[in-house]
Amino acid sequence: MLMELISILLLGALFAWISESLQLQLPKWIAIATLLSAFYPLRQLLMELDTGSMQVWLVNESIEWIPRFNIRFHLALDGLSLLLVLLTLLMGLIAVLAAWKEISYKPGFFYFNLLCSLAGVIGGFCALDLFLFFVFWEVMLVPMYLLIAVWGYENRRYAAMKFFLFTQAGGLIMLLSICALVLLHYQNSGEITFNYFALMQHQLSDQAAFWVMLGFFIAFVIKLPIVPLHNWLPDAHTEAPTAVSVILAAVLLKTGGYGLLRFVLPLFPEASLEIAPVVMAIAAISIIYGALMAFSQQDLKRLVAYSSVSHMGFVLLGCYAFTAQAWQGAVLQMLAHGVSSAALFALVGAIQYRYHTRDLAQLGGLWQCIPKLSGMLLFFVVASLGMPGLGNFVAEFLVLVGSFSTYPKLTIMAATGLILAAIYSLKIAHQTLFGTLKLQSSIDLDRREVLMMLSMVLLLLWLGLHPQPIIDLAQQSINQLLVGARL
Amino acid sequence: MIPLEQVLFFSIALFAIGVFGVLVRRNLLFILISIEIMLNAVAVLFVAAGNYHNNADGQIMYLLILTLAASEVAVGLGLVIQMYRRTLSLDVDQLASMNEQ
Amino acid sequence: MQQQYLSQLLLAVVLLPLLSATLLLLVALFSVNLKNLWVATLAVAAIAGSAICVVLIHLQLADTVNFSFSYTYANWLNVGSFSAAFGVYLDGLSLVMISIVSGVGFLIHLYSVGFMAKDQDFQRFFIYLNLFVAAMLVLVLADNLLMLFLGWEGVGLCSYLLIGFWHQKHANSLAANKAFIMTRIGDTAMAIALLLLFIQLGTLDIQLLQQQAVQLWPLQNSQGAVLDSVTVCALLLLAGAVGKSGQLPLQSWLPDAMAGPTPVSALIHAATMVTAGVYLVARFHQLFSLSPLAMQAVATIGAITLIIAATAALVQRDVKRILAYSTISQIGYMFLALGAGAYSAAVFHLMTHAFFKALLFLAAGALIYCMQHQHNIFRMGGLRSKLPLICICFFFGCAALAALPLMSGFFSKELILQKLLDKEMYGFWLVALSGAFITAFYSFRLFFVVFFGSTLQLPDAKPATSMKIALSVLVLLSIFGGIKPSGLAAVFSESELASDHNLAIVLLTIAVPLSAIAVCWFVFKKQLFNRNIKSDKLRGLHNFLYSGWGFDQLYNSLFVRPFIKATDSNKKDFIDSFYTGLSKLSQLSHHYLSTVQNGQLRWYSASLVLFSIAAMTYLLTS
Repeated sequence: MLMELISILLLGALFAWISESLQLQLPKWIAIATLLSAFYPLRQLLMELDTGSMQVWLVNESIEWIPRFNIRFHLALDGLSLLLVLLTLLMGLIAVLAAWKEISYKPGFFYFNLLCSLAGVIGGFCALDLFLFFVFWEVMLVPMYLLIAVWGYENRRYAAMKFFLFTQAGGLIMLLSICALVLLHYQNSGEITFNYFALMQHQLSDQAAFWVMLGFFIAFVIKLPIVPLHNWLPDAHTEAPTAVSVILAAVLLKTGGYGLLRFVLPLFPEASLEIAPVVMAIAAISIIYGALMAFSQQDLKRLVAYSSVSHMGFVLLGCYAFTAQAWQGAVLQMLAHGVSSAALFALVGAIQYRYHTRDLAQLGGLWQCIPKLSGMLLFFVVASLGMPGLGNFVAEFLVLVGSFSTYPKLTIMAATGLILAAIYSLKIAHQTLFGTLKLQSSIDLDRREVLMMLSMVLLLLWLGLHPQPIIDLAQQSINQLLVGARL
Repeated sequence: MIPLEQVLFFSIALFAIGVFGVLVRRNLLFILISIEIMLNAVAVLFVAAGNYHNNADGQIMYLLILTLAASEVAVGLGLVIQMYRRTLSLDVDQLASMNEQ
Repeated sequence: MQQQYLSQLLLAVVLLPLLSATLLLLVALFSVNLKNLWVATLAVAAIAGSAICVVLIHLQLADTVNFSFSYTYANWLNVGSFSAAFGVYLDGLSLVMISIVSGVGFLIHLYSVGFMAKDQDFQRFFIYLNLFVAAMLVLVLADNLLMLFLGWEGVGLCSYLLIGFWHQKHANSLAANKAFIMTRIGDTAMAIALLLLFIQLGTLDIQLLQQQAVQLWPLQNSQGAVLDSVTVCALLLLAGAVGKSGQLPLQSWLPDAMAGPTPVSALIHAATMVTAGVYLVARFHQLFSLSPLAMQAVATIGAITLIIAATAALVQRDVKRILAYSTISQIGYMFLALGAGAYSAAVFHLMTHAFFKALLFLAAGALIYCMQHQHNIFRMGGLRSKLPLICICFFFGCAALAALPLMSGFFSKELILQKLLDKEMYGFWLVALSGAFITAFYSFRLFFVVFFGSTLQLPDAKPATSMKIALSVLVLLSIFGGIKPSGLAAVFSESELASDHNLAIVLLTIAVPLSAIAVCWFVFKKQLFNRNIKSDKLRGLHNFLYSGWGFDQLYNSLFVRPFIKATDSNKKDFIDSFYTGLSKLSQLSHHYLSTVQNGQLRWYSASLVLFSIAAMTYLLTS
């Protein structure tokens, strides 16, 4: 089922590339069709989903791949993975729609890269073989590099290189850790394996566990990103084309949070618990620093990018609080931030498409000529400042509830992030939507864009007002974490 | 019978001349000639050492070096001619760049 | 049976405005053009529906004195030990609140139909207004803190949207930002209170939580007042209330909030939203009663705000700003009453204040509407005969505000003063009494300046019919609305028996506003209000009062400017300089190392020779 899913995406990617030579409009239709048909393998799972009597692993597929090192093509799906896979597919659709008119240069190759990178992300969310996970980790990286470097804005080379170097550095450190973990396991048991469950059973000495954990941790935290390893994000976002920003914010950052929940915490519960106070402090700093940086930016995309840093701080905060509420909050935050930031980037892209600028000083009074776009922007701005009733609030609140009992001071620090979020979010609305009109353009959102935005509005409302199905879906995975941490 | 020390000295001197030639000459042809001198210095040493040890291997090595030097000169000169045709110069300092300008 | 019926009614009360707002929003989104008449009908009918449902609830509960009704509609979220649901809780307090919100809300909607008729954003206005009413109803009906917070932030958002409603003007948007951010500071404190309460008591259900608090935390005596959990929780909640209700030290957003359309000022910034803080403290009265320190804080904040805002109102020139400061001051009264433990008096004053302040704002709106958007009262004058209806409205509004006998405001304010005496809080009583003097003075200053004296500017329009209807009803409410809701005392378990009214004290409370009016008339006749101030010291005092005791300047130099400066100085992100430094370093080393690879054959061979010699000497010597 999962292998079909990934092969559909990769095949679709190839078709999109080939079809470019036939007709330039074809690739985007193929991309849409591919993403829609990617739901097909999941149909049975989604229809028979019963969160009440759910097993931990909904799907578990494993075939031999490189027998010499006992590396297997092992894909599996639990509630957490399923949620993130669905998010990936949905945001993939949004990204294709956002790129609809924007990409005219080599569209086939563009959609090839886009779909490949999505396939890599989905593979990453499902892989339970550490080697396979690393492979997918790289698969999502290289197309992303190309997407930024070829279709980006003015300073794209620099941004793409920065993105590549940061993530690659993290990836290599992770590879080192994977090898170390496998070797330590080999020395202990005489069996080479990259299997997740086998490695989870293995007890490392405290010293070893700490260093191996650190390698994973750094890789994931770069992806998340967390201050002070966040610098690739603003540049990458600013220079990336809209669709790529959408994917980057909605999906790629989530691989970091997923990695923490799937690998770091279960594989090294003791070591994680030990560094938790430090990580919580870093997370709180990240929330505040990201928000302060967001406020000072003049470039709209940069502003939203820094706000991502701030929001993802809550994910880290939730991951290391070691309570069920905080973990649920972290998962919800990944989903809610995925939707809200994707929408914000899509809207900023729409503004850029119309006005050819992202500079806050040049924008202003947009409400007077494009009220629908402005209304939407206002909605997502409000979502990102944590309005109750929308997904981000539920997520952030759960994280805060979960962390408050153990780390009250840090939680209060993080909570001041809510004030700062209001300040920078309202700055967006104030500078772009209100005041006197500076640039004329009267092309409001068309039906495609309204539909795309409305779907995200509904998603956020759903996350905010009825998150229980999602909480139930993730509950089994969270329970596993609780068992693993012996809480 | 010439003592080994003298041959050794001769060979080192010859080699030094060759090295000196490679280092100071700028003309490719002279550099090639200097390389030949160095080869020959080594060859002489082989013969002398072989003789000293009462062993024929030194002379075999000499023959090997002789053929090697011949083929090296053939390839080297061919390259030099090509280079000259392209750049109309045999100055190695001017040939510092790999790409043609 | 009755449960079912009540729960359906309450659901309808909340959902009707929400549905109307959603419908109008979708219509706007899909570019369907709707005539203003239809928009108005839908929006007003939705609120009217709510109001009718509230009336039906009243009828249903008419013969029960002490009632409380709770109902859970749906689960919201449930994670481990944490759970919150969409549930309502109805008792005397929330019944009073929903009556005010839906009743006054309905009148203001009606009024807005006329007031906003020429505005091109008619539809957007009603979307926001409907949404506001829905959020406010959620706030007052919520049975748990998380849902209360949902309504709490919801009304804050609508307030933001409506203050900045005329978004073309830069200043309006700034005022909206200020309002939202300042209340957000309080809200964040309140969110922390939520966390603390949940951690300590394990629930967010408001009633359950207070019962547990009463059991868990014994009453402290005021001498040994320390920052224990209950005090911290109460103070954090108070911070939320203070932000929303425009009390010290988060009061300075409210005067600026007058940038919004006048019906908005009436509904949100006078009658309902700003009194949410009072509602919050009253709702948590059991918790607050446990902490003498928190009670003391509530009363002190109320008293100080009362005086600061009242004195600031004395010198304002903009009619809406006078009323805004007056609102802050009146809410100060309510906080004072809350702090004294006179909860029902506070809520009673909240109710009468909603009536007469809504009336005053709407009358001011009509005045502005008729006077070509003139806000300055000194540009008006002698309008008594030109705009008789508005004059009557202003008279009764000011009379109620000044607590003249037999007006609605008189009963509530008198009750507060009485309670203060009963609790032997003589200092606060004096403050409240002098506040009453100032209140009467500034309200009649407004009235005299606008409606007496010589005519400066002639009105060019007449209020629309819908405005007249709303105004007339509110006049009646301001005069006769001084009947204390019967259910309140039961909620706060206060004794129904009125304490002995000391005749001298009652006479004093009557005499104070009357004397203030007399002084005011005297000053007005001498034409002292509009005179340029000669003395430097007096002008300094005037400017100080005019700026609302300089809080804006203080906050600007204390928080805003340092914040902007600090963030601006790090615009380029200093952490990035570490990474650019790293890349610079590698480029530099690249530069130096690449000089070795210069393509010079002779350089290469020389290095070969040198290295071989070095290697050989090393091998030979070692």
